[in-house]
Amino acid sequence: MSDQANHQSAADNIFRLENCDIYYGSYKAVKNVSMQIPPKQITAFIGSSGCGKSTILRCLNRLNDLIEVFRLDGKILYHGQNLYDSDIDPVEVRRRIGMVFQRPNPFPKTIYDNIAYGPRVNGFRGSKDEMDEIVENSLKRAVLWDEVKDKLGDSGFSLSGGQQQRLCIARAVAVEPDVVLMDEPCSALDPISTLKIEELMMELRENYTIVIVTHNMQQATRVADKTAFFHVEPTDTGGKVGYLAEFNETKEIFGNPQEETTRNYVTGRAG
Amino acid sequence: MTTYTSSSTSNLGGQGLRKKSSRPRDIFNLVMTSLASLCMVITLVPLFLVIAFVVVQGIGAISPGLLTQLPPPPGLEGGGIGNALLGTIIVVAIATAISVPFGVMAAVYLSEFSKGNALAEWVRFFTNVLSGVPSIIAGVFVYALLVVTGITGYAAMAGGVALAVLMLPTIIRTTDEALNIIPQDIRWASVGVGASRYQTVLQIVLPAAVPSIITGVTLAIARAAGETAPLIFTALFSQFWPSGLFDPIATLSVLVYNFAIVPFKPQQELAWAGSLILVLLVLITSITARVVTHQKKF
Repeated sequence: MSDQANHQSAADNIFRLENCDIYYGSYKAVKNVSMQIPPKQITAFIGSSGCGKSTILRCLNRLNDLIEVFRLDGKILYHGQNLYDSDIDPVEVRRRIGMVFQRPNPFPKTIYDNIAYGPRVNGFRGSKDEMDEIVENSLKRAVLWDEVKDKLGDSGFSLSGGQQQRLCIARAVAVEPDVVLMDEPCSALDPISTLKIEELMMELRENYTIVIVTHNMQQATRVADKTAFFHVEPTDTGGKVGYLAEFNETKEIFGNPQEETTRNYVTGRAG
Repeated sequence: MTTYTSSSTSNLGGQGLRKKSSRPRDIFNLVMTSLASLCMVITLVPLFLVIAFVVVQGIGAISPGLLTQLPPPPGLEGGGIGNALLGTIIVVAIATAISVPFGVMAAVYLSEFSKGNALAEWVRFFTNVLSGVPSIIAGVFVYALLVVTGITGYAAMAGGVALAVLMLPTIIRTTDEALNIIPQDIRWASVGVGASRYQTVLQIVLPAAVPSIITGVTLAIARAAGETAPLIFTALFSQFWPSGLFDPIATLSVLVYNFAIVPFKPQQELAWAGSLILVLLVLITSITARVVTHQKKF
């Protein structure tokens, strides 16, 4: 029955950030972010460079742990559990919360092994047929299957940039995650590939929670249910620190922003 | 006109875009290019002379039995360097078997797990120092460690350990560099699908670095195969076929050293033939390294 209860609270939000301050060494990168991210929806993070969008995104699956000087104050609750509690296994967190990066980064392996790697490292013990099925389903969900089904043995690098990025999405969904984080997934792609990725996101939205960082405001309006606008403000010591300026339904952020900074940003008056 | 030329289009009809080879900077250009080319040719001369000399002197001693027979006793004709060739292969194989696992694992620690701590910087520094240590020091070290103490005595094993000491710095450095070239992106991608640090290193990072690592190992082997000093008082020499890893063993480089200074003609010819085979071995391994490097993934 506790599953039931978990599911109930998940219906409201999948992530809850409470007063998050993020530091790199003594440098404070982001201050006092509190927000709730809803499940089975697309949430976009927008804002100018250096405002901490990607930093926040990487906190959501503890990828920032790989950076030595990183430190987080505050809580990030995922289904009600604090991800930064000392007894949380970051490896398990990252399996449930997948990631797609800015530049397509397939492994230097075959297309098949790019997908199969995730299940294998997570202890997949099934037959060859079952793995074939995982690979096929993952590639189908990433709408790449028809383009690569005859060359699964080719290197992942043999694909075009847009195909590589869809391969990376297929790789992320192959481990059956709950959430897919995307860090500017289209910034290295041409407009046609970008549209394909966006269509793909809309389909993935049926089964996954998606959080996307984007510099492209049209992209946010096209795909996102909710949008968070991050901004920077000067600190007392002359540095800059990122903060969450406004978080609301996408149409509110772009049509009826409450904050002056948001209005300036979405109308292109300030970067 | 040697002064500044305006780039207005009115000049295009005249000298505007044409070459003016008499300008000082053009002459300077020509002189410097010629000078650099000349230096390049001069540095290649010794290389080709050495190879040509060894080939000319060694080719005469090439015979059907060269690679399969034992050297003749002093005063007799014929024979070959079969035992030394086999011995070199055995000793280098021992050295490779020791240095590759240790070297690669050490480099994995430096590159993937040390996180830039002070210890790693000191290890890197001393690795570089070790690579500059004269090879005879490695021989003396192993002589004191294994030969004098009687742990192995004069033995193929002692020779292999001495060569391993020489190979380690090359292998550590090239592997360290090879791992550092692998983009951070794919480590993050691997960790991002729920792999542990070691799964990432063993299944993603190391395989991607394999061509560069093989290049480093091959270069280390090529260097070790030609070393004489560390073998003289560790592996010693033998007139006979290798009899075991804990017995003295013949090697090509020591054979060249021993036979070149004796007064017997057949031995001197074998020394030249040995030199030729040694040069060919080093050349082949180096070329192999080059070919493998072309398969780099990053």
